[in-house]
Amino acid sequence: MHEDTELLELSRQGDHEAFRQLVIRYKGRVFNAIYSVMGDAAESEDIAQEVFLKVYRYLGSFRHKSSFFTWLYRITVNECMDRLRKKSREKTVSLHAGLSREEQLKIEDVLQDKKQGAEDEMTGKELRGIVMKILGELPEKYRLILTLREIEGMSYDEIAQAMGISVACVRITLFRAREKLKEKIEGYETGKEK
Amino acid sequence: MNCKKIRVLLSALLDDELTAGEKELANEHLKTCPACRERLEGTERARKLFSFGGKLEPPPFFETGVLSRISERAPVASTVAEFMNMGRKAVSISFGILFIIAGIFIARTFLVDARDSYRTIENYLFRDNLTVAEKRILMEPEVSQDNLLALTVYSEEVR
Repeated sequence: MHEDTELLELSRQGDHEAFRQLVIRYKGRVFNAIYSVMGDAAESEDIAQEVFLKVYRYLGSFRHKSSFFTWLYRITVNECMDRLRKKSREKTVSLHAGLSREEQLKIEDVLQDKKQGAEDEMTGKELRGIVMKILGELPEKYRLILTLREIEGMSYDEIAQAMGISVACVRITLFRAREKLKEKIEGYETGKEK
Repeated sequence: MNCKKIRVLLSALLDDELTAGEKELANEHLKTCPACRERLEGTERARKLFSFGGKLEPPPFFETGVLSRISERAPVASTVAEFMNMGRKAVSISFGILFIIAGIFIARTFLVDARDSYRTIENYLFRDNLTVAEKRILMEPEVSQDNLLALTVYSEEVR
């Protein structure tokens, strides 16, 4: 299996098959990161394709100062933020109308381990949908940083490079995002949605 | 350290992103502060959400879509590479031409002209249009007044 640097070099020389391998390698992570922020699958696919188009266009300017993965995420974050800025005339709109009562109960069961195997009763898709709804109620920046940390498992350093901020800023933003997330969840658990 | 300041550290503690000193500080605080311990547990519980749900797969043939869009647009990556190559060649040729021009300029300014290649003092002195007296005066380091007079008279006679 070729390393990223080999595939990059081949892609620069015009080898489309090498670039296809790169896309296959990272499409899942890029798509999921975008979906977690945008909340719409069709839009996320469009943005993800734009990301890879930009990667192809700017292959020559990648200087290996960071890993390819970090550079790719930098482009991904920028694309998401650009798209959100275009939509930001409307204030942070909840992607969904909040959780239904049933969903709130399910989340409560899962998080408080009230019922054994509560999470098994729900499909991954259901849970994912609920997570997306809760995320959708957070400001974009918080949504993004939670996605990069909790879903993509990136280190603070990698998040800092991807978002173009300092590590100290990552710490504080992540802390605030988690506090906001807790508020939301606690609101659902106590029946007082915030 | 008070609770307000330690909370940010506690969040980073969950991600193991603290220095050894910060970790020690955070752990020491947790031992003595039940409120912060409860906060930390709350954060961990909230994070638990993300361990469920799995990941969404991108639609099928995603990469095919990307490559068709690349083919539709100009192959900018290879164009950029070609442009850079051409640029380098142009720069090398320009330097070469500059060298040649500089060489010609130096040659014309500082090298001895062929016509003057034998311009030495002696050759100058022994040009035909100088009189004997003039040549003697120029060649000899010291010419006495008597000699000078004699030479001048001689020159006059020769003329």
